[in-house]
Amino acid sequence: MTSFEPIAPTPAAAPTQSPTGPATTGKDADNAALSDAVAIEHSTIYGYGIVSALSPPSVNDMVVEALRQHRQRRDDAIAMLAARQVNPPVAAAGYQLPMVVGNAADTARLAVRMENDGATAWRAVIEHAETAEDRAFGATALTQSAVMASRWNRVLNAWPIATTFPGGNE
Amino acid sequence: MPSAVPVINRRSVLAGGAALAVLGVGVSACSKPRPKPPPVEELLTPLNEARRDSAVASAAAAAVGLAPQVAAALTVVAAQRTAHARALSTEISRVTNKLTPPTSETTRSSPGPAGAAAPPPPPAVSDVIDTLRASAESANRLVATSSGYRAGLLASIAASCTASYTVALVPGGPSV
Repeated sequence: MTSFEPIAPTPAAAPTQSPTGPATTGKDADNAALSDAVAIEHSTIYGYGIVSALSPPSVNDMVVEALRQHRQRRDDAIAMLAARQVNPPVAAAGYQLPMVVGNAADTARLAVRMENDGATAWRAVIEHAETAEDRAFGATALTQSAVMASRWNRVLNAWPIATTFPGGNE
Repeated sequence: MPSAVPVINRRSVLAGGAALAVLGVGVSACSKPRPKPPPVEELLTPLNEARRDSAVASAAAAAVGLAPQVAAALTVVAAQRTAHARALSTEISRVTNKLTPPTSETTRSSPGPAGAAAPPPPPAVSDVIDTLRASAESANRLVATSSGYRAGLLASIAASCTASYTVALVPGGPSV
């Protein structure tokens, strides 16, 4: 699901679902997708800590903006789950980075990867959503992820800057 | 979940007639009327917008004096909007179960009468940005009333358009 693997998941992090009912059938599919997206946001916020530590001052503003976006989105999504009596996933104590991050360009590549993982998770939220509000929330998250990934691609001079189908591979 | 299907099939074979009866029940359950999805015609608007944007971006890329990276980005936008049109066409075909009309009938304007004035200048990059912004807003509006794969596709297309007009077509920014 994610390219981040928790190093030491806390016991409470293991069940991403409400203890009642199966995870993926019908009514619960929307909550399952939203829980998966929260887990991705946890790992992304962790990863942006690494990006922040190793990236040059020229991208400080981008790192701050990205972190603010992800924290807000995580908190909003957790509140949405709590309002439905679903236990939101909690952050792991640590995560295995999906790639070696040893220099400034690596941090930008990590950021692109995290934003793309987020796009995939939020597109799944949209496709499983039961309400227009959830779809709108997911669509905003998907667009923000696609824009941020593109900004990191531009930083890297990577091409193409924008992807054709963010969160998918049509 | 997918692995459950072959298991059921094997058990159906082993169980013979009893399983056939079970399958019969399943088939009749599947043939019940389902809730009607939103009309597929709503996808014609984003389809036409994708074709229009592709044509505008292609024309803009042909302008002389563009920075090479902007011209290249415009060409990418044209190709991506064509891919969006193809995906929307596929979804429309899947729902309507018939072929969609050819793609290029309306995008090729006639060259005009002989001796006519020079062709209009190619669109500016700002025109492409404006049309992509409108397309992103239009697709995002449809996300609210769509569902399932279609909602995800429309949101993805809106995200791609937004990334193009806010980042890909706007050179500059920091580097590492």
